[in-house]
Amino acid sequence: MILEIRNLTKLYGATTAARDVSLSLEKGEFFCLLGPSGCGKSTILRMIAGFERPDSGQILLNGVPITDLPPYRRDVNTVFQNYALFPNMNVHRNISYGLRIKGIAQMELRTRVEEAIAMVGLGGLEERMPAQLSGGQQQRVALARALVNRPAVLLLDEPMSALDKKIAEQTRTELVELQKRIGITFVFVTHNQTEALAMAHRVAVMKAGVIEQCDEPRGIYERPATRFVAEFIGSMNFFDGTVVATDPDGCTLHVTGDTSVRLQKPSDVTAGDDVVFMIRPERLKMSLVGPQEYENSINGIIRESVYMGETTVYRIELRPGNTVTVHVQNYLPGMTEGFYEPGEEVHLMWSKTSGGVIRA
Amino acid sequence: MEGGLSRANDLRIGKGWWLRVLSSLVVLFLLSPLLLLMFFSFNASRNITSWSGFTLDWYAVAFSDRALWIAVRNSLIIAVASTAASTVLGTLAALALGKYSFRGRALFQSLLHVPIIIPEIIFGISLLALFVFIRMPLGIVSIICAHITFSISFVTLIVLAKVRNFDRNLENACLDLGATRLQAFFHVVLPAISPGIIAGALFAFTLSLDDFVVTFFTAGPGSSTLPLKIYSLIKFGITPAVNAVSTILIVLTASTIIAATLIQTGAQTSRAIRLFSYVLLGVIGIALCAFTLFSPREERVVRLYIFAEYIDQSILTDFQKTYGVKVTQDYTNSNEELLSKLQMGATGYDIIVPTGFMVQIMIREGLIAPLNPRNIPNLEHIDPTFRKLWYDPDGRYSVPYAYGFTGFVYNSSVVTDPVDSWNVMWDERYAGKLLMVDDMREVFAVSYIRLGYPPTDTDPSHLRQALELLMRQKPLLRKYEANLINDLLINGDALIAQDWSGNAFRLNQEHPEFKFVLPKEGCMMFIDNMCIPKKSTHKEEAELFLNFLLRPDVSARNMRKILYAMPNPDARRLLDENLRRDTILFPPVDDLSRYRITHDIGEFTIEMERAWTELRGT
Ligand SMILES: Nc1ncnc2c1ncn2[C@@H]1O[C@H](COP(=O)(O)OP(=O)(O)O)[C@@H](O)[C@H]1O
Ligand SMILES: [Mg+2]
Repeated sequence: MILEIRNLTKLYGATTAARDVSLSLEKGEFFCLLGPSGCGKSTILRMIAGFERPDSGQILLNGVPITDLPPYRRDVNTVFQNYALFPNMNVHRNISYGLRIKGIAQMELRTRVEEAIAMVGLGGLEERMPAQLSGGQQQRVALARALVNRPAVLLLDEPMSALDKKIAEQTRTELVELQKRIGITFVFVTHNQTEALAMAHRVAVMKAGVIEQCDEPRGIYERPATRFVAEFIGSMNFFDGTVVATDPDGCTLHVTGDTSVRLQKPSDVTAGDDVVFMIRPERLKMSLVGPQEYENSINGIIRESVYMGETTVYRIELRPGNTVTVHVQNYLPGMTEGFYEPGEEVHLMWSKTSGGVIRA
Repeated sequence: MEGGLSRANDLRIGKGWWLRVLSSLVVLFLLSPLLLLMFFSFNASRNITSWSGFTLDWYAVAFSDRALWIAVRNSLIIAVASTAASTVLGTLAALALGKYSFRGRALFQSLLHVPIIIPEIIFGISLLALFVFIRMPLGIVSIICAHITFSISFVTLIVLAKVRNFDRNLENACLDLGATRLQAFFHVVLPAISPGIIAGALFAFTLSLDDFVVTFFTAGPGSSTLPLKIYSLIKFGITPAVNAVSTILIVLTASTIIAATLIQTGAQTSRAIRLFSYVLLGVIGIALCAFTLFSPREERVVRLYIFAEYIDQSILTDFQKTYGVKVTQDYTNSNEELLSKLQMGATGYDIIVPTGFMVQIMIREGLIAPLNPRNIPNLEHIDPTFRKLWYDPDGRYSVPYAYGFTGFVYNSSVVTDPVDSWNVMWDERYAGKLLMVDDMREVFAVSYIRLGYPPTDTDPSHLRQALELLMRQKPLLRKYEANLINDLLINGDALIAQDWSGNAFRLNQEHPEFKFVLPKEGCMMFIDNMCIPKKSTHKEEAELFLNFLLRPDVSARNMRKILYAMPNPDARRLLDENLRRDTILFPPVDDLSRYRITHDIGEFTIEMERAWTELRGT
């Protein structure tokens, strides 16, 4: 375990920036803190970096407590949200700053800086001033400036948020590859769920200073632990329901009154519990004809359809006051017919392995 | 950093020729007074409005005028010291305000605006009250403290703007990369806010260099600055020597600013230019230090509080050589100023030079000390007519120094009628070509004299009559003028002008067609006197100096230099023929009754001021 955070709490007046946050990171892990803005992600990074002192809790790096050390005595470096490049120094001097401060010998300094510059692909821009660089180039300088110090952990605070979409997507893959190559542990902060799912080994989803769920991307998406996580990542349909029976394989629920739903997934509910049944819009199969090979089905009337290019989003009324959202891929192979029209009655079907429950 | 702002734009916004013309005009408008001043520092004539050939004489005069350089030196010492202190303190305050929150921060920040908002004159008076209260001697140190108090606000606010804009993460990035807080401060924080610091320092420097009001109140003996000196010169007209000094100062200041700007633009300028700028700043710095070093302090001193250029500097030097007592000058602007300074408790002056009526007031107020005639045997050279005048009936408190008259000057090549009466100032034939001096007492005095009342009269109905008479004169006047009387006469804008004899004498020396008249009805006369304030700590030396001044050869030399008459017949005998017989300088004064010496009219001044406002306003 390279980095361990124990019960970290930080309050700003009445605002809770972090409450009882605990995390353990393995060496070489690409870890992501995901959450809406203002939920306390940066605050946690800043406490790890040492710019902020926690109200309580502990931070250990390689098993050694660093909670009370000043930033310059922690083997951790940061890529700041707006990069925080030194405007009065050129690219080379920005990157070599950490080494110069530590008094690294000229020879070594030069090779290490060259290495870092090559690593992020900034060759030829050494003499430029930060103001003369594009956003993407600035981000690379910030990355090189941190990595040249070979920290135990690299903290990245929304490094992509200032880039335009295309460049951000390209950078995403580059960053993942770079991390794999150098093997440094990354703590990556973002409010962008796609980024988190695509890049991280593990993701911690935060809300108002609290970690709601910490899991691999697949676990976060497939088995959201709370309603917040389910809603924040992707979109989700929720149904209030009751457990009618449980068995070793899963359980049977009643939702929207008396529709029976079979769920074949381990969950710690018992008969009689009030629960919320959740299912992703793309897991619902829509058809004009009745139940086919799926275990569960329900019918309703299309109230609205929105064409989104890749998919079409339908809002379907199951019964007055109870609607679900369904995503249907446009141009499925073999699907020759056109789109469904509002007003049509449709059947929604899903398998017993789709969806999940959380306690109400 | 600034690169983004100056980038050319595709729409060519801001490229139109009219914008260039407009901005050139604005710059010209801002700079033209300075350029004009620099231009006239090379003018052979001493008048501002006429050019009579190129000369470097005024620079020679300026360089050899020790008193002027002492004022320059004082200004620079004060400016450098107050700038250094206020820049450091202001920057620290800005950092505290911008980076930390603490109890009372909002209050502190609003208090910063106080010295900026509050009228300077009130600020000056309150500082003076404070210094007197805490018994801090007035002088260079008190002026420096005063300048720091207002400069600090400006520096703090300017630097604070930069600190607010400063991205805290830059500092964090330094710490993150292994720098300590101190290293982070010098590597990143300071460079980021340095444009603010430099701007603040330059602002503080210029504020200090040209501050008049606050300096005026907090100055003490030995600390007259250039602005104080220049303002005091107004009594005798500003000479091009002052223009020369100002030119030198402008060049000095401008090169400081240019150097600072070059340094700030950083990477865009070449190494050579930046090196040059640092060298330039270094040279300026050394020059300033050199200034501050010359002139060691002496134990025995006499501090003179006098109008600028009202005494021959070489006499002071000679006195020092003979008696080992140093004489320093500080500059006053008016009798009223002198009075208020002494009433406020200013100490350290050993000799002051009040006009007659002010001597009377000061005796009454107990501000001046009686003289010991035994220490001033040269009093015997004084014309007895000038001793024991009404304002000092026993002659115990004052020694008459110099005197002059207010008559009128006319251009004899145009005005050919015999003119010997004030009536000519009401003569419709010269309508639009007449000038009266811009001085309430002098103007009303003429009116009173024409009406046959003494100028000391305090009857309100007589004042009404005098006002009516002046109201009738006003349409005939070109204007009321104080400083440019000679210039307007030389230009031909005026033919006849009420004028002081000293002024008239100078004009007559250069342009003999201008004649001075002391009208037969009578005219105003002033007598300036030397007195020793009660609080003087060098009374003995002061009396020694007064005695020296009255020595006929010294007095003659003094008269030759300042060109004012002195009531010292033995000295007058030593003057050159042309000076001795000059009727402007020495009109016959065996009987002073023809001349009206300005009295204090006490409370009646308020009535007269009301009438004066009415006259000027309509
Ligand atoms: N220095 C501070 N003083 C007061 N409140 C702060 C400070 N820094 C952050 N906060 C508050 O703490 C919460 C978490 O902030 P932050 O960690 O920056 O959020 P995120 O990075 O997730 O957007 C926010 O509500 C923010 O307003
Ligand atoms: Mg943030």
